Amino acid sequence: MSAEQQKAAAFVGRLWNNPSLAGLSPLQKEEQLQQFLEVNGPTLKPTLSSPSFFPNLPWPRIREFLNQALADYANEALAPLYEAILEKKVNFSFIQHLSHQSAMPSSVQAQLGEFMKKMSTHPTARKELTGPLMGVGTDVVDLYIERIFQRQKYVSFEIRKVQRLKISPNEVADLVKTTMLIRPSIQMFSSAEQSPSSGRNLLLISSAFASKVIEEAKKSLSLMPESVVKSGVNSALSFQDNPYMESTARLAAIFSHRCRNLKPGMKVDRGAESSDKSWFSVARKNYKFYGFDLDMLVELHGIAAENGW
Amino acid sequence: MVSPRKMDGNDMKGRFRNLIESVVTTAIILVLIQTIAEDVLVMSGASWLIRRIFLYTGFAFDLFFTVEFLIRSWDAIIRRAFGHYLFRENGWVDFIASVPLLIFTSGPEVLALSTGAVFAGSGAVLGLLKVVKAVRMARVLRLLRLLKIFRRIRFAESVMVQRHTVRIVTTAAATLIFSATVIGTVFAVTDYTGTDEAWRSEGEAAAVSLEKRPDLAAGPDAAQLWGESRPSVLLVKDDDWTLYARNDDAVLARYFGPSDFTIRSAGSYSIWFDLRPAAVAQSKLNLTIFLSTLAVVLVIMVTYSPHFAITVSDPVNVMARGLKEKSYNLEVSIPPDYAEDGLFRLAAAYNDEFLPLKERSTTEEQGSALDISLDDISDLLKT
Repeated sequence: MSAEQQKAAAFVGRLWNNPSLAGLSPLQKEEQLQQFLEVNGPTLKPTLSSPSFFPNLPWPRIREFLNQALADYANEALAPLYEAILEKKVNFSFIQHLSHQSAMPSSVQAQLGEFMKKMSTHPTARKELTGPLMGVGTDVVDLYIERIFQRQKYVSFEIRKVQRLKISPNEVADLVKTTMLIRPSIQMFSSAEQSPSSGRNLLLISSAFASKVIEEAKKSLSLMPESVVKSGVNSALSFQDNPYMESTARLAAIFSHRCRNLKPGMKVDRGAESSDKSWFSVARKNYKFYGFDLDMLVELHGIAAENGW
Repeated sequence: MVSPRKMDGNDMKGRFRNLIESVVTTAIILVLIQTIAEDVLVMSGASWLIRRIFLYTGFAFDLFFTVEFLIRSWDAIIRRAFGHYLFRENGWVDFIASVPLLIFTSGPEVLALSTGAVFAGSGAVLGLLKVVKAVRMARVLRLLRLLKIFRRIRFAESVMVQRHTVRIVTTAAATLIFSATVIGTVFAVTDYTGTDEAWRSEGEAAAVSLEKRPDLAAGPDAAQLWGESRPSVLLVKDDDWTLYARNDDAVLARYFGPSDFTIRSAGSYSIWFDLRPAAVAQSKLNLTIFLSTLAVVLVIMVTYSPHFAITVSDPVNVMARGLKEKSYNLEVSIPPDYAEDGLFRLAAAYNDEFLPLKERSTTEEQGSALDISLDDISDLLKT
């Protein structure tokens, strides 16, 4: 490791461990710090170009060192996180009820793990993984699915009667979480035509593009039931344009967005609504923009309100 | 080994000022307790020895607060901010609750005790009771000290809640205290007949009757009969000869202070009248005002502060954070009962229009709101 790389690692290390970023996932931290360096570049430049840091190096080169160090930190934290999430937070036994082929849950888990690692090498897919990782890593999905089946209203009807999933609530939660983890693949398979030149993520995709992505994703996730892969990719469709999309895809879309900026343990100010209630309320007003199912948002908002989430 | 940071002049000055403020606050609490105790002791008929101690402590407190007022005034004058201190920093409270009390109540009382004279009660005429009553009324002004305590108590996090509540508390308490003092003083110097006025009239009538009919107390038996029929009479003397005494000398010495009786001459007779019932009536009034003011202040603090926080400062703080911080996206909680308030209609617009727009804008920018700022890494940039 060169002296510059060591300095960059030391500098980024201190940023990484800054208390203001405590509680964020590695990808959230990475995104925050990338933006921080971008926004505060002009202010940081004189200090970082000083003899204490990187003398005689142009700013773009300094940024390269810092970005690389940042990616190293994130990757170092991501590997065990993927392992822990897939091992402890998702039970893949639900595939036995969906699949016509006899794949072992452990094999599916291992294949998904590899797929996630692959996705995290793609810049936009990596960004898109933020929400799903946070959602699966916390118990958000499990808590809501449990309440959904207790209520026996719109969402449970959509899952049981419309999508015809005859699996337990826990398995539904695992299915939704798996769907969320597959969802970022749309970014990985998007070409220059679909993805704006700025490298921004695709918010919603067309059904034609979704079909292409499904075909590509199936190759990498050969052991995963096709319906799960389809659901993961279809979660990026607009519900207004595709009213027959899977309820698990709709839930995955909502929870992925919800968890993108989720800060567990966030203190709610007096006079403010709770975090989830606020988010679902705002999402109800923006449902067309994000292609969400409004009725689902209404029910999830109700659950958040009832439980003070 | 890490050496402790050296304390600079400002730190020392700040610490000294805090120490002094703490001492003053403690004194305020103690003077309030002292004032209540003084009245309770009068009402309970405590011995003169105990009540005398409280007279001296009352004087000490009034002297302390007068000195405090003078120091603060001097400091303000040096800073050319006397007007600011007097009117904006409640210097008028410091003044009214110290100097007049020292000059008109505790000062003369202690002076009379130390010189052996009898303050107020030493007058030959019972009309001086009016002065005593008016002067005692002024002791209620010590309650104004409460206002100073409230400014030091941090009972609410929001500065705005504190300021509004303190303003209301001070307005209500000051109005109550001033009006009670002024009205009480007016009543004290007028001739409206009340319990203590009736007591005073009874004494005057007794003296007049003995002036006109000296034979009524001629001899111990007649004096005994006459004295027992007059509840306000303590002692009847003909020159130095005691004709009648309601209590023995030991009781008189133990329970009666110089201001608890007054002496009036009627011919060759000297009549000692008991003033304690009038003092008890005054103490009852003082305690009523004292405790009522405390109740008003506490009720305002307990009920109004949360109400103000819920209906004004909390929603304002939430909206201010939402407008200022990109990552803050919590909605304002709108209580159904107040939904039509102007502030909550604004909050509804914030919830329904601003937050969704902000969320879409953040998504379109493809970036999450920053939780870290340059301030968070200031130490890092210094290295």
